[in-house]
Amino acid sequence: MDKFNDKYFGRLVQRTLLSGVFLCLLLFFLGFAFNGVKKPVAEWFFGAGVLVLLLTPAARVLMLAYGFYRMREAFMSVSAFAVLAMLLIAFIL
Amino acid sequence: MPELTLINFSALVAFGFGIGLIGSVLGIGGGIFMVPFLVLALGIPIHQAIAVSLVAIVAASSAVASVNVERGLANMRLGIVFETTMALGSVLSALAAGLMPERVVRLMFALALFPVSSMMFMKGWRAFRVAKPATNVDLPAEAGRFDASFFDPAIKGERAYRVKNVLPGSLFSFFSGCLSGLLGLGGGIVQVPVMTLMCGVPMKAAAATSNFMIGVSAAASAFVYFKMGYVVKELAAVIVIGVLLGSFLGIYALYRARSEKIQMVFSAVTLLVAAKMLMNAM
Repeated sequence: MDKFNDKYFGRLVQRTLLSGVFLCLLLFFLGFAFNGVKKPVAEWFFGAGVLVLLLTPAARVLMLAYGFYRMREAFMSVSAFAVLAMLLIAFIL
Repeated sequence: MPELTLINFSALVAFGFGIGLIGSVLGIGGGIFMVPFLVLALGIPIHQAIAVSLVAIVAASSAVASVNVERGLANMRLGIVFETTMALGSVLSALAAGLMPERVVRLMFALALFPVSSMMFMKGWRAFRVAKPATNVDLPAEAGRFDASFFDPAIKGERAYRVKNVLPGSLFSFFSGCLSGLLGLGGGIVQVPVMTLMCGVPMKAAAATSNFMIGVSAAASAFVYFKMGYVVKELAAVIVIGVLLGSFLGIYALYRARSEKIQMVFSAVTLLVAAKMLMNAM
């Protein structure tokens, strides 16, 4: 039996978002640590943290597209893909 | 950027904390307050201030949505449908930027916000005067695609609601996306009233769904600024830490408070934003 229901779906989206937020925080803290000892690599960690943060909503939209597909909600899945496509256009622009 | 002394660091984290707290309770990003603070108090150039503000909105939205989605407070189905037109508006307005004078957009937006503010207040006030908090809407056995429910501690029970006017709401989301592209706003200040007044979504669920949505439009705009090198990364990191701390506390406040009280606070913030927009446009 397929266990993919609303609750499981919610947890999947939650984990995606929290992973992005905590990875970003980890990179920021590494940045501050290297900044404290005046290492130039600190700038790289800050940049990577910001980039991870900005990609988190896109990852969340991707998970929504997958989740709605698994729940056989074609309209919602297509909507999520449309948002993802527009995000891609914004990134390219 | 100011030198990061312990005092500066603490002040920036505290400011981010306040913005995160307000934003997560009301469903707005808080860019309207953050950008002037960065420009006027810290002397950051406007484009860098907008870029840092957008990064902070993405952080708050991601953190708040992660909890609200799991609790069922954010309506993912309504969110993704509104996000479609919102993202379209955001991209098209970014392409058309410059065709419409910014002052005209600000003036039109400000004039539209005054009645929205009063309607939000009246709806909240009428419900607040009734001693008993708002109760469930009885959903038929065959609920609509967007209808949902969540556990509301303020009424100590499950709160179900029906979502209506999704199509007109989508059109307003498009308008909200346009504002995001033209004025650098997250769009929550439009989305929350649309969901509450037009679609019949309770204030708490509207704020949670708005927070869920605004991260996407903010990320799209922030990435453009990031590529242009406008994001002051170290400053963004400090503010994001404060915003995240405030957001997590705000989620707790949103969960416990009565919808009507949040609605009245939101109307006051909307009035403040409208007045500020009007002054800028004059």
